[in-house]
Amino acid sequence: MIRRIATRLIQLPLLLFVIYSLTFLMIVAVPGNPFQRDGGRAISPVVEQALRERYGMQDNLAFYGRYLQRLFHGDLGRSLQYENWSCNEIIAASLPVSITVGLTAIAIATLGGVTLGILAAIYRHGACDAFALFVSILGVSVPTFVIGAGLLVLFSVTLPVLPVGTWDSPLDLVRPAVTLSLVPLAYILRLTRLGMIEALQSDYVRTARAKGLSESTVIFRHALPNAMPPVLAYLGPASAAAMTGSFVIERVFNIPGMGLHFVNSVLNRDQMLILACVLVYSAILITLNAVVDVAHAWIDPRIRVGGARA
Amino acid sequence: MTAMSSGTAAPRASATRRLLRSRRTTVASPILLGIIVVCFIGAWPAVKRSDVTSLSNARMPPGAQAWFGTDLLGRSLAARCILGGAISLAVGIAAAIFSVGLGVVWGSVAAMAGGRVDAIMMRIVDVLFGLPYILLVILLKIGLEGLLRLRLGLGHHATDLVILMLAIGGVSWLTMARVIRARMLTLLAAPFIEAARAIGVSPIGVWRRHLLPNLLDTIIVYAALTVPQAILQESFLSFLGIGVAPPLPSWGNLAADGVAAVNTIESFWWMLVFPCGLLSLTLLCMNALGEGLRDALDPRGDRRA
Amino acid sequence: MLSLHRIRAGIQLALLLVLAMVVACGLLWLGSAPPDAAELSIVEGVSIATLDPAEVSWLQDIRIVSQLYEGLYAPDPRGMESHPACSEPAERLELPAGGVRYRFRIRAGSVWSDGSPVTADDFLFAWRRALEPGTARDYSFFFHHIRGVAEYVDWRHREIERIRELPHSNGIVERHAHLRDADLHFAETVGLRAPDPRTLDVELVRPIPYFLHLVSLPVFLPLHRATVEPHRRISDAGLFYYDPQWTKPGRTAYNGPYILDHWRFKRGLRLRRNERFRAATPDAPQTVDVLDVNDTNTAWLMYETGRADWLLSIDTSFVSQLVRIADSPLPGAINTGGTIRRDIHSFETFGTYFFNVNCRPTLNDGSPNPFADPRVRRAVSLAIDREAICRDVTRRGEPPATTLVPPKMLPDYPTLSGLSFSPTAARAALDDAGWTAGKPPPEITILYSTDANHPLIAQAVASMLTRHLGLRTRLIGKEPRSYRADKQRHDFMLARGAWFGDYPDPCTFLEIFRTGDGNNDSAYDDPVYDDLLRRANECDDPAERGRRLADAEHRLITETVPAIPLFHFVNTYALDPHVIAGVQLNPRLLVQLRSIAVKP
Repeated sequence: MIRRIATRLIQLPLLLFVIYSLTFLMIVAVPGNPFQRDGGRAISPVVEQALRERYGMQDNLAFYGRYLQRLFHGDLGRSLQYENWSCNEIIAASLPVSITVGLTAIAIATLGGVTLGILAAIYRHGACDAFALFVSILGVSVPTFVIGAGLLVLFSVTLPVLPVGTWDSPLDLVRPAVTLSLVPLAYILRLTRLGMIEALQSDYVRTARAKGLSESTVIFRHALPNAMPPVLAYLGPASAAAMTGSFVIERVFNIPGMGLHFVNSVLNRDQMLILACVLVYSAILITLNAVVDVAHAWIDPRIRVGGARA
Repeated sequence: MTAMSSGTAAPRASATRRLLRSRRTTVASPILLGIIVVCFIGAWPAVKRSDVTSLSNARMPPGAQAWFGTDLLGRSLAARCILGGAISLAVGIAAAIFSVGLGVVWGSVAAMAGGRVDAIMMRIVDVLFGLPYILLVILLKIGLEGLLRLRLGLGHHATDLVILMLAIGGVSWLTMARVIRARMLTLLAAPFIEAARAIGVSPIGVWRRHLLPNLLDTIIVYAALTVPQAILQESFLSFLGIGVAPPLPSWGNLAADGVAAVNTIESFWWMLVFPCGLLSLTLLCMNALGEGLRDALDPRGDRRA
Repeated sequence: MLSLHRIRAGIQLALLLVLAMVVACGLLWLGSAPPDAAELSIVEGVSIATLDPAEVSWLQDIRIVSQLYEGLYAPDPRGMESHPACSEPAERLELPAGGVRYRFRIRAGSVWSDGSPVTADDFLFAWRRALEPGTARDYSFFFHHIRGVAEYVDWRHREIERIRELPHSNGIVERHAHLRDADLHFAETVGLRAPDPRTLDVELVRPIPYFLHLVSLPVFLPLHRATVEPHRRISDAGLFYYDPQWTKPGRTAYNGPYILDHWRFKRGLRLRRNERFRAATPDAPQTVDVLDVNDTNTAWLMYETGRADWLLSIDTSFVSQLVRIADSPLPGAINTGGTIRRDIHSFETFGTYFFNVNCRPTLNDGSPNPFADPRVRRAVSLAIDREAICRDVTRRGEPPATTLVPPKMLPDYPTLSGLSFSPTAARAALDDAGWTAGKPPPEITILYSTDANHPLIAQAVASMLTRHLGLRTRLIGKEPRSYRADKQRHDFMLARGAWFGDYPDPCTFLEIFRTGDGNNDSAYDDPVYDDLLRRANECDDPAERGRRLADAEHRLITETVPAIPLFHFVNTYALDPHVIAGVQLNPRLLVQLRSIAVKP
């Protein structure tokens, strides 16, 4: 167990380094100049040269080295687009927002998905199963930008109960979190249902029933825990994806989160912010995956997950 | 050995029966088939009509003149939906084939090579998994644009679609590679493979004759579920304005335009309802069919998908 | 066998962790909320990028910065004139050597928000900072009209190059010496002097008829030297940089009517009235929130539900419908006659949408450029039905444009008319150029960016060229930055373009077609035109100068056609004039908060 954790800890910086290098290669290969602003006046080559020097970006090699050097001091660089802000400030301002929305969404998805999944498995082939199936397929069949826009109009104009475009009260959390939860909810529902169907047919559940335990005890204490490992495994990458934000949801609901930067930084060729976002996202994702793997191994010592040769 | 390979045929026959018995697949498949046929056959006449602008007929509601109404430039929405459907489906299917192909090759090579090569190949997959895919898609899309346009002598629109397909396919093969590798590892340990290897069948022969037939189920299920994901991804890129480039339509960019056309002041509802309805219906059917296939071919299901 | 206990423990632990994180983030979030609502909430569609006057280039930044600082001159709220602000009216003096000198006297009572007086030195500091190689940006070339600035900047660049080549230890010594020299050099050779703390003398190389308009641009704003200078850093080679933290709330003093109270990234900022501002502004709102909302539909819903009081631009697809049903009571608005709403105000702006035509003899791939022939460019301009584009594509009441300079906005500038839609004349021009029907004409490419309504406009133009001239067209839509890169490399035949006037003078439009200008995307190279511009600006009489400039523009839009104007931009505000009084519809889209009153 300790060896497994240690391997993961050593892997993290190595993986991040490789990811940094890969991203770097991509951002310098993409055409477009971060210093020539859209719709603005052209800047002269001399001015651009001085600017590049200021950001430590005289040439690609210098940029690559300088940024890495900064990283060791915990400095993610300065945004090229939002010139008065450092990437650290930007991420510190937006990551908590995204984490709040993302975790709430995951909580909704887990609660809803597991409940519906259990019901669907118990009443297999019944109305409940059909409803669950419908929800799970709907979640992955309608684009989020349509659902988001629909919810926005529905609950602020048609039925004026929620505020629009603000981020001041927990009420502002409801719609984005629900929208964001639809896709993970669909997956969790599906995984729970499959796991529960299998568990309910297994020998130990039959034994438990034969012992005369009540149905709820059988379901919650015996069947459910056996159906959970795949859900837990899915939760790792799903939370990472949810916590680092979604462009569509943040834009439609006007939430100042990380997802905006993923897209905008690339469109603006804000190379510093691209690197910062990728590194933060990757660190979160790799950590969460590692946590899930380790937890998984701890729960089920037989499993060797994700090809880790511990 | 032939007995071994054909041994997979019997479960597949029962799978077909299971698939046919499932109610949702019997509903979904004819609808899906209908949409696909109409889109691909209708695409040829639609190519011309979809780009005939007639500013005086702009924003006409659905009626006898235009079944689905007209868009902001007075183009027939029906023609655009059909051509857009063909494009969305083509991009989705092509991206899925690309991603499944790459995933299968990558996973198989890693599993069969084993040792250091396997470790390196799977670490590459790990690294790519750690990258935010949306960023990757946009970078690929923008990066390849300049590169491909210079290198390939393709027409403008063709280049665009190829890039989109490569960008979407290029980020979705990772799961496939992992799953195939895992399946391959269990298969490689099976006695009939060891036997085949013992009598000197070449690795490629082993893969083609013995492993591939056993992987086919997994591949089909994944391919079926990757197509709707790819289509959804295209629609998302269109929302960002970097998907299929106008004047070519796709369900994605039609739906994105449609969202803007329905609001509190004026509602050109047909611009949202038709493309978005078609898109969702198709995805719904594809997902239902994919689920059905999975249940039929692989009842235990892969839990990590 | 699975360990059930471990599973249960794991699930519980995970749930607890999630809960703890949600609570922590929630607390963090509630802790950062502003205390109360502001008196006025404005929605800005684009995020504020910078509040450093030297860096400011985008409209949204200009609008905020001009509330925080007050320059020597300032644009009036109607926007097409510049008035003395922080300075008394300037005295102009012709110099015997051919230059001209302006003397600005800073008004008594001009103080910074910390109580210290605004001095000429604050201007000198800010201006030098804005032109220094390390901090110079898009607008610093305006300083090159001042005597000695171009030479000083060149000298600095040469010296910096020299020091960069030196080994490190020598470099430090040299840098030190150079920086001392630089101060001296600047004081001696550059035509900026402060004979006393309240007087600023500016000496120009040659008379610039619109210099006082330039002085009212953000790049000429003063900075509070005592709080900004400590943030200065010097690079190894001797470039000046600034730690941008000085722009954050509470770090520096302001001399404008408002001070920066809050600035939260991507959420917006709050302005508070500057009690020490030199003029009394009793009716102006005490606090103003500028909200950062990127999605136009969301912004509209915020306005409709009362969360926002004023939308600075409505760009949603339904704006055309909105304009049609609304009747604006504000002077200058073009939407009158609607019956349903009175809170939507459309007005013409000082900006033009056009297509650049590549004028180079060959394209970037070496093939001959079909548009090198001005007759072909004319033909294209004649074949575009601008009325139809405005009526059916953009639909906001944009005036179709045949000129680059928006008409009837500038005094002393005659109203011109250029080429308007005429398919027969277009075909004739094409025949004239030898594009006879027998030989298939080359394929025409149209470059545009895939944001906003540019794809629609490009498609409409392409279909007109096909219909009226029989040309084969190919649309090249690219995402904005790639489009911009292609355009600056002159890698296009036709490309969409747009220009907003920086200052209220025809030159702001005409200069971008001067040979070698950094913004001359058409690569238009015409000594005759350059000469017409130069001769016009040598003229002292405003009316005569206007006529000469008009001759230059006439050549551009009817004979040589390096750009094809389509329409002049229109902007739309949403605000209730009964709640917010005193808003002027400013063609340059500037906003003056201190002249606005909010009724409860």
